[in-house]
Amino acid sequence: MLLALAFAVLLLPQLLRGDGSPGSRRRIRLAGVAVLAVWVALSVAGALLERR
Amino acid sequence: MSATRPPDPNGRASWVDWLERRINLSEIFSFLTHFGFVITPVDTSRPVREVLREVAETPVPKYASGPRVLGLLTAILFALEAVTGVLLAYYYKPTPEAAFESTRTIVRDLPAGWFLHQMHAWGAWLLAAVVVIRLLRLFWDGLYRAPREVLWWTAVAMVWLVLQLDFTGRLLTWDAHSYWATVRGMEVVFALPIAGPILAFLLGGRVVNDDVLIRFYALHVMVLPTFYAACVYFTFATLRRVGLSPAPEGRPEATTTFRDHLYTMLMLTVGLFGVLVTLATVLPFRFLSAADPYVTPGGVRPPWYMLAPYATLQWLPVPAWL
Repeated sequence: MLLALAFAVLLLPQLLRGDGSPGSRRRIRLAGVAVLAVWVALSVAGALLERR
Repeated sequence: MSATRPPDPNGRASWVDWLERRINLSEIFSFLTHFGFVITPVDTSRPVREVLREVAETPVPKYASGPRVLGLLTAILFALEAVTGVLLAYYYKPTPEAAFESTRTIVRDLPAGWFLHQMHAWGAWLLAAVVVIRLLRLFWDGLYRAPREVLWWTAVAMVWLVLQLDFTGRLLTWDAHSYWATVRGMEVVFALPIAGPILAFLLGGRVVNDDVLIRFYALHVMVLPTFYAACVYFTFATLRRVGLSPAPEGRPEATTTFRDHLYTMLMLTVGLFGVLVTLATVLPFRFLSAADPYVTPGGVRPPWYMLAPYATLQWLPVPAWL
């Protein structure tokens, strides 16, 4: 999952090629914010995690 | 082919003239422009004085302002890191027995050693922040689209390289906290399917020991900075081809000259230096005792950028067949 995410970030220009309408840009931004929010939430969880 | 330079009307010859008869200074200046000095194209067949005079007067889009400044900051901060890193390397010894002691000698006994060490540590922190913010900015403004793919790839690579530089650098002090943070981070890395076992092989095993320390040192001072410098080069070389990111909607494109640009760069460097000095003196990073592989201090976690995968792997263990 992490590797797939890393490659998805790198291949963003290819994955989102050609669709530059305002609606599409808004959706892409929203998706980016959602991914960032999940990442931050996981980071907070990781910071609070006590090692079992 | 080099152009013939007119003789000095005063009959004097400066060191620039002396040097220019032996080396193509315009070519060197042109090379430096690829690291963000100026975006104006340079004619390397002409004398450097003429080139500088022309560049100083040529209006160019202002790229050291607003969100565009982030790219330039990545280059300036990297230069600061390189200078402080080279100075620290004079006294650092990359062995488990001597790493902590040599770091303590730098911090405690050398004149301004603590200052250099703190500047390097806080500079790394700021650099990581700047490259991540820059990547988010490029994403937000859709600047990954054609013809800016190379810029996007270099921005992603720069984030990856800076985080690797941070990860390899924090082990070098070999104090208890940095050692165990690296152990936790390595657990995350080694748990990755496919990549984990390959990295374990490349690093000489899954235990953080002298093999890992010397490999991290080599990566930190030679391999990763070289790739980072290449990324800075590609960034500005690409900018010269595809142009700067468009100005914000409704705002006219501001222009500047090389003279103003140099002044802006100088101000940015001074400002950054001021921020780093303040952080280094007000909020210094502190050492614990030397690392002991048999004693784990409390509250140890991997670095901040590994916390998300750390949490994920705690809850979703990787299947054994991967």
